[in-house]
Amino acid sequence: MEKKSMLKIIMVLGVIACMTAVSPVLAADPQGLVRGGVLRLASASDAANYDSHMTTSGRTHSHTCAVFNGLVRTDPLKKEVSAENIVPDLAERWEISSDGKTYTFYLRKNVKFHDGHPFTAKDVKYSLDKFRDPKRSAFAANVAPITNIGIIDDYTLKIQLEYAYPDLLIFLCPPYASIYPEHLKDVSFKSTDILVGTGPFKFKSKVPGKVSIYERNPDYFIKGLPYLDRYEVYSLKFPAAVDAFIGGRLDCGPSMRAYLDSDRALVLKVQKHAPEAVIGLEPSGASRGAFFSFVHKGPWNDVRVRKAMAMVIDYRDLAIASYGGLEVNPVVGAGLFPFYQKGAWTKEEVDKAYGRDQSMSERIAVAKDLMSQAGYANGFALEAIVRSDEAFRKNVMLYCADVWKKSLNIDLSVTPLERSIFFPRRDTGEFDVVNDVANTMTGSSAIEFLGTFVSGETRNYGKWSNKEYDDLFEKVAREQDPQKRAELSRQAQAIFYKEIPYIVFEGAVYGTAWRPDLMTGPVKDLVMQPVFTNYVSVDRIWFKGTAERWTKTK
Amino acid sequence: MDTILKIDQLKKYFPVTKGFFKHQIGNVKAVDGVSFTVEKGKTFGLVGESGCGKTTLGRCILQTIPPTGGKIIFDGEEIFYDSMTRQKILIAKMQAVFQDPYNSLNPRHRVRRIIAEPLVIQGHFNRHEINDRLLMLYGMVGLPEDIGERYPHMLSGGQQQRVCIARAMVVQPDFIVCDEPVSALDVSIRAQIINLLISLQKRTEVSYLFISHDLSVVHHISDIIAVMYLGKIVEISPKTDLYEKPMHPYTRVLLSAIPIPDPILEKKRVNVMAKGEVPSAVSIPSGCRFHPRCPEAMKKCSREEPVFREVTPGHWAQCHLLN
Amino acid sequence: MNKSLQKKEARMKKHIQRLGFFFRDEPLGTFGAVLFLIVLSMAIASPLWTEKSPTDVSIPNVFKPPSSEFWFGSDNLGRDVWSRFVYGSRTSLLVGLSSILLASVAGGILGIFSGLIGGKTDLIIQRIMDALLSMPAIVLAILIMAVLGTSVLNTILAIAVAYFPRINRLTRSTAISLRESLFVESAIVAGASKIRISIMHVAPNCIAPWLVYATALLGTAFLAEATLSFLGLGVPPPIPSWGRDLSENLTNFEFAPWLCIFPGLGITMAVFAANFLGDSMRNIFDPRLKKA
Repeated sequence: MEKKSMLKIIMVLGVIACMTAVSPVLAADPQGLVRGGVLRLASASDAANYDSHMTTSGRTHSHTCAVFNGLVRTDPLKKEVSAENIVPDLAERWEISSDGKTYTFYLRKNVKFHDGHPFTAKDVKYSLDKFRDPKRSAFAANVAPITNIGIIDDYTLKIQLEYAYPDLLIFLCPPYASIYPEHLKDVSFKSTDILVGTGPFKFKSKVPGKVSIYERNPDYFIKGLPYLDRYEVYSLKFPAAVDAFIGGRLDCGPSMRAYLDSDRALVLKVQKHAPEAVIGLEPSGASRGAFFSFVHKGPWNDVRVRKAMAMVIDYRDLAIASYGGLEVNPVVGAGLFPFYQKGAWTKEEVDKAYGRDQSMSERIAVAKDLMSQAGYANGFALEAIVRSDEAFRKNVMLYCADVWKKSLNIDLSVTPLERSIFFPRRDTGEFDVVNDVANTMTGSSAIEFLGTFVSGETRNYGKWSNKEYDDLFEKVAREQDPQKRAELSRQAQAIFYKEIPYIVFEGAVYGTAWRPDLMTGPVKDLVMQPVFTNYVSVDRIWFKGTAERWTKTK
Repeated sequence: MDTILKIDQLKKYFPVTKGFFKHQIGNVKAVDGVSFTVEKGKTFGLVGESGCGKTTLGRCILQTIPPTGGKIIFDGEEIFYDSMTRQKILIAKMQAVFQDPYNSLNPRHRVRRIIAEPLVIQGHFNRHEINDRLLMLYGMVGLPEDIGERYPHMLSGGQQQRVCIARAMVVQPDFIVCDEPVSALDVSIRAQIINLLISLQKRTEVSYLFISHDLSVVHHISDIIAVMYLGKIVEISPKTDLYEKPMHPYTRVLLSAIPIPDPILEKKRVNVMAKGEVPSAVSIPSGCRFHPRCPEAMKKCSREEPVFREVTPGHWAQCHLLN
Repeated sequence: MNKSLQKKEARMKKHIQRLGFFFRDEPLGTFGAVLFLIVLSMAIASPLWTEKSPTDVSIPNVFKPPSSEFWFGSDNLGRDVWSRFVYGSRTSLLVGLSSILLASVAGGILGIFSGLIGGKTDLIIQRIMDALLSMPAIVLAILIMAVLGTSVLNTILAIAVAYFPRINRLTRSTAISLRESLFVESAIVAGASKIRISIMHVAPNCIAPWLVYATALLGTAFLAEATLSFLGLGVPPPIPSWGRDLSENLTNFEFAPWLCIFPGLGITMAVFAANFLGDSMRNIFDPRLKKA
């Protein structure tokens, strides 16, 4: 309660601050807030498309988050993402019926798309209907309970649910559930012509393979925002982008959210050469690990083999093997849920489930015993596929290969594959073991963590299927009482940790560095919402203009 | 006297092609209807400027390239071209010595192997027979006995040509085509090689077709000399006759090109010069082939081709002046 | 008995003398040969050079700088860089030598065949070679690797296919000039068949330029292997490869330079060795430089 009122005060102050600001170019307002400036960041390559409904990739979201809005958004000033921390975006306010099955959204009036078209309920219906269509959206499963979206009038919208679904609002937040203009529904999402939104920045120009430039939207519906004049996304490979950041040519090192986390050397480099930069390495809702394929038949289909393989891994060694040191991810060990989540199994519980609460020699003995029980006392051979573009994915598998060879006599060959070959094989279960991510959309809902391993889910790469687990998942999704829900979710996790369709290696850390005078809203520092993988509220970013290295190069 | 070789209207045309698909646009008439005979144990000299077709003629006779038309009768038998290997009779009886001795010898083979190769190919000799024959040949051609173990690049030019001659002689042939055998050699060695050829002829009764561009060289060795111009023979004559009474203007041109060692005689001599260059064999001049360059050309020459006829016994020529 | 022994001795003496001339006349070639022998012995007798396994992961030892225990330091997985250096020579040599062997034997034979036969056969073969030559060798190799996938055999094949048309061209042109040469004509006169001519006369005389070119290409094949591995298309991990080790540690260069220096040194060594050898081969085989 206290927090909320504080927030209101801050917001009111913020609005006043914005309104009092007159000059748009680097003018200090009474609070010391500076307007103007350019935010420069990098993405490994051009966006494949601008459809934020289809991907969790930052290559797309770093563009769409500046151009589009959601119906609601997570409070940009709070770190934690939860249903309670949702604030208005394009919807001014909303009502939830007492049975939790009907949501009525009242939209902002006088909002215009960048091309001058007025924004109405039609656009919301069009976008959300696309968002919940499994053919046109990768996140349809997360909003599956929606049965109908009805337009009451131009500025009122009613969403009907099959059952009460408390997490709905979280899933309607940007950067995923962007509201696209209905009148451009025939435009390809691969074209920059689709970049017509209601957001803080307007698309200005794009040089393919080089840079996309966005400029301030003067008609942005939050008066006074954004603070920046321009927003530029450069296409740069990451080691080079980190160098560009150190040289003051980028304001973030390199993207707003990620990629400093792929290599310890990058972190060390920034620490050494740009000591004044702020390095943010934050746990995310995603976990990385090894999926076992149940499409390919082999010894790993036996749960005892999987358990033996999981047991002998030393998580500290694994973290060092991945990145070369603990600088990137100091969190040793991980579960299906991040440990800080409510209703998540704790580290101790996970360790116990994997039999990791004993000394390594005992673990190896038990694991060997499990292997011989399964009939593989002499080991077997299998192949792991990894993406070839990020070394840590291969390193961790090489570590596993070494451990499994030495302790269980399992011959693991590691095959790095080009993305274009890797993804189709991963998505169809055409592998023995794949090292990849169990990604989440917002990283805050039990539905997402558990949902990865539901039968038939695309992200369930190994095509593992367990009836009991599926039933529990269904119950979790429908349960409104948080207490009971947590209990059900823990039961589902119990099955997951017993069956081990996926050995969790680490809770993915997303990290970047940014110039020290980069601010968000009236708050002092950039707020990184830990669980949203690719989203920062760019409308509230401003520069104090005091970081010499970065201001000099402008 | 017996005839070893008789050539009748021998022709060799090379197609001229153009473009990617190589369609034929004409012919190079390198040898255009040549007839002559070579007697056993005699030397037939063939003289002409470079490009007149004399080397091609030699190769046609050797059957290393297929003639386009005409007949070659060797030792009483008509011979034919065979794309896989030469006919057995040719391998056994007709050999060759080429202009550039160094390039005529496979640099990767020792001398012994080079000389023995024709015997090895014929296949009916054992090692001892071959060895004996080689030793005998070394003596015959004037090579040291230990030369067999050496490589061609270790020999002098004269020695190399002796090796070539030895290789030609190893099968005891009846006929050797000597294609400018001395032009690549030092003047001091030329005489030695020519004398060697002459002495070999005396010993073995071998016949030569001696091709050269230099009348002075041919003079020493030949019994009969033919002068060739642009694929045709313009004059055939016994040696002395040709030098004393040349009938064709072209022969006179060639003769006047021979330097005379005596400066007084040289001054007295009337120099006959041909105009211009040898025309291309693709577009052969009408009428008499020599008329554009002939110092004594008449109107008739460009219209009508003169007849090749016996002017005096054994002396044939082809010129309107002789009518 | 005694005589043949003496003969043998004399021959030995001659060989040693010849070797002495080689050392005296070709100091760089000698250096290349020594380097090559070192690399070769590392590849053949790797366990004699190091007791450690190149793939043995040891997490407590990550990023150790060169020391008496880790002569060349250790990498991000605690693997011994010296051991990876030694075993990396295997990959380089295996891939480099066998791809060039394959390319030069196949290219050589086809080149002689194409040059001697001539006509339409030659035309068709050479247009195919033109197509292959129209791409830079390394691009062609990358293309083939991308299609075939990563494995040692595929790497060898890719590099062999990329260099094969070059050797083909060389032997073809040599064969064509030899076809017109007087000693081939002499052989025809002597009654040699086409097959005898190609085996006894043309092929032996193609060997010198062919060998010189193949040795020179060996250096580029080492580089191509390193490049393919560098691009992640070469031999698959964890097989040690200089190119792969170099590229994977580029980001670590600042903090662990030994991870890049030693694989780089290996590549340099192999390429230098092959090029120096190739140069002196040319000197030896060039008849113009030949001493009587």
